[in-house]
Amino acid sequence: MAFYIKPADGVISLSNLERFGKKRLIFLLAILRCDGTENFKRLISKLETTLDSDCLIEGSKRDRASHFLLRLVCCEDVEMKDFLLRAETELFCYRFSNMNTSELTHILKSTHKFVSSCLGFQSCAKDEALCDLYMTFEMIYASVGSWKTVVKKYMKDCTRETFQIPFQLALSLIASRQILVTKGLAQVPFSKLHVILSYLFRSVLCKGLEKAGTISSTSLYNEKRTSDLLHNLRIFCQRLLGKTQTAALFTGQETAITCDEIKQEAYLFPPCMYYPYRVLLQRHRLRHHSRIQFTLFLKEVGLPVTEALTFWKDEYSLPEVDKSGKEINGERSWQKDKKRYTYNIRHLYGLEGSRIDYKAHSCKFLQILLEAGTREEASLAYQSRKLTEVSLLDSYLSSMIMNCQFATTLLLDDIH
Amino acid sequence: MTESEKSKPTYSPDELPEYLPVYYKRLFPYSLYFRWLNYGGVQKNYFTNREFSFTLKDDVYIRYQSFSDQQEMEKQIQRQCPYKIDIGAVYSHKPKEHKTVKPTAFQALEKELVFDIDMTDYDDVRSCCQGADICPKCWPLMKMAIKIVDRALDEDFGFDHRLWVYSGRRGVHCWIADEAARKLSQNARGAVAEYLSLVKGGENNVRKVHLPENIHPSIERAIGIINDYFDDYALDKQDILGDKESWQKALAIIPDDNLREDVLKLMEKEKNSKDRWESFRMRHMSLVDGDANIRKSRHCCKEIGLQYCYPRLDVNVSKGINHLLKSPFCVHPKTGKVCVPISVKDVDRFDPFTVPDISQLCTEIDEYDKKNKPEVIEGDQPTPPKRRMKDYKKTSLMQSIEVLEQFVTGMEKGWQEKRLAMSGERWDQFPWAMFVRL
Repeated sequence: MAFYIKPADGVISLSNLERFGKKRLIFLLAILRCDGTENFKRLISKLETTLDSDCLIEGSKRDRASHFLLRLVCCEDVEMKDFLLRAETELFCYRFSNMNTSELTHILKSTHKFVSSCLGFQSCAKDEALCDLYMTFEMIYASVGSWKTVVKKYMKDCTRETFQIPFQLALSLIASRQILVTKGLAQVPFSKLHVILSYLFRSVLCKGLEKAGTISSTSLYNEKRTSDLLHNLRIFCQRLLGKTQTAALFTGQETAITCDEIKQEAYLFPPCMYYPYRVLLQRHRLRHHSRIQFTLFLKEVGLPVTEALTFWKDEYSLPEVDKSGKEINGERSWQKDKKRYTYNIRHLYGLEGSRIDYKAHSCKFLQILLEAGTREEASLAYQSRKLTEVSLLDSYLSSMIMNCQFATTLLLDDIH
Repeated sequence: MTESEKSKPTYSPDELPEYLPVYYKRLFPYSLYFRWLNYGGVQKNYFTNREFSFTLKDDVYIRYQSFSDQQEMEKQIQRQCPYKIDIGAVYSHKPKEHKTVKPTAFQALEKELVFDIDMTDYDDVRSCCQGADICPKCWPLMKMAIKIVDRALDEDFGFDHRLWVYSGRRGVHCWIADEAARKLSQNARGAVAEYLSLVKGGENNVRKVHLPENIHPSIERAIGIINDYFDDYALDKQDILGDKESWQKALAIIPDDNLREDVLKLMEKEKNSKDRWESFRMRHMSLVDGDANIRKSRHCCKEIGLQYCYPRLDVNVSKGINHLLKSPFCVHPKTGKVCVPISVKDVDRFDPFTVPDISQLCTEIDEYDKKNKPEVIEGDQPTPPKRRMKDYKKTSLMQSIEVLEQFVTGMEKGWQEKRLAMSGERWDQFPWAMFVRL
């Protein structure tokens, strides 16, 4: 499983390059949809018989060429970058898990040797991800003195013996408290070698994408043929990912909604957004992150910024109400902080500050928010674990059904 | 009213405009503050590229303040008398010039790793106060939080330079100034905060702590620290098993229904929290080892203790490199109290209720000066004081400033060594070497 540190050398025709790029994109998308190594093996064997599959053979020149090509294709768009990071890392993990002892030993040994030689060059020495890779390899190797032993212990799923690396390189294991850490050094059991290496792979790729972003705006765009190639591949990729336009600024378009319509349409909101909405109606305030998430959600469903300002003003101008229904003298209000709230809402719509068109966050993000902030209303996204709070789900559903007759008609329609 | 009560100043936010100028002119420790944030001048422009934000009166908020040196900082602060000062990140360019830089080029590069522990996050387990209020009955939560988090930052992560600060009203902050900490990525900061997080779930979750079968050593150590305080804090001050409502709330955390029923029945038999807890503990110990069905509840004693006492930090404050956090030694506008550093060694003696507020401090300076006026003999010139004593030494702020002093001097040796080393070797060849703690 190549770390894709150096692009391939050689000559290739543009049409081939484009074909390989497309092939790889399709393959990467199929990988993300793959569930488990069995399906991956089936996917591989299916592709082995098709045309141009040699661009997917691990370590081949075409494999490297198509990978680096996709870095250039995806480096400028946030969603495409994310797709490439996830898919290539998945591919790395699958390849890793399918290697036998001698293949693994060979790969680790040769990568170690290669990165050591790389660091002699100034440009590589400044690359933090490469330095991390080098340092990790050094420290893993130093723990037992031979790659053969490292691989043996990994294959044996050894949990008792560990190697030490700076905790910054084992973040997922640290965050979930799966390993020990002492004086900044994480004690990683050999059985988790693949976690460390896939994290390194991802950061090398991340850094590579950053670099690709800086060069793609120069010489490549001046040459018509390469800029066409990149352009075509970008369109192809976007189609594959099914990207749609987000309803960012809506000014009077048909798909816009008004803040009055929110009340009528609210029953259609997903539970994770319906709950904060109900809390807002009752208490006229939301906690910070919930307010941000709900604002972004309303933006995505088509609420223009002018309507949003009215919506929040209406709620936040009313006195704050506490859990028991009593009015309290809260610290936040539209009257006091009008400027701040206005600026904040406009910022979310991309009209202030860094002018970023913020997208509403996914369920996964909201679930993380649940664990981080203990009292955020927007964190009621139902995880499989939280479904054990059956009484909660039960009361929510029954309140939904009681509050809207439409739901019952929907259910009845289904039956017919 | 006795003489002392009459003379004791009581603070009100309207007094801020009167006292702040005095505070900023005579008490704010500019020199130490600059020595800290300049980090020995090891990295060029580190101080000049640091963002500060000021909150002025009438809630006017200005970001992207930066200063070229200590003198300019002093001048600006004294001129504007901010009600609140926040410290942000060190950027790629001078924050005050950020509009002249392309947005994508203006980046937050480094910042201390910070933690914010706020008493309001414990509202569901405090019976004495809610919201912004604190009292001696719930303050031990902060003592435990400081000890637990500080131990982990020191022993587990190897961070040596940690400054704990009282936030002026209802919580504490921690600033970690190690070089490795300042260079941490957003993901790394989040991971450290996650490592320290245990109490999870919103107001709709009854059970917020789920311990795995094998408890991580860092949690075990936290349990040890909590045990030192548990009897006094939870059973006595908070009285968590004091009456039916309280014990039902506490014991609702037990996952296994049968065990919970069992224990609930035991509660009426005892007369106070201490005995009830002991009784619960004994029953739990005797049952859990035997019954396989109670596996989920194997740690429920510890889980209840942790839910009531384990530190609750706001992960989002720690994650963002560009997140702005209230500066030490600024004044909390609502209470008038100075955000003073807390010495971890003496954390049990720290009393937030006796932290001085600025009206008190200004009075202290006046009183000291009155008592120590040099004698004026008629006809002669008054002898000028041999050495002007720093004003803070005349006040109850002295000890707090000493804590900051220790924090800064603790780092200065390291900066000196680094400067020497850099003048000799080519550090730019292997920048990653600075990350390594071997």
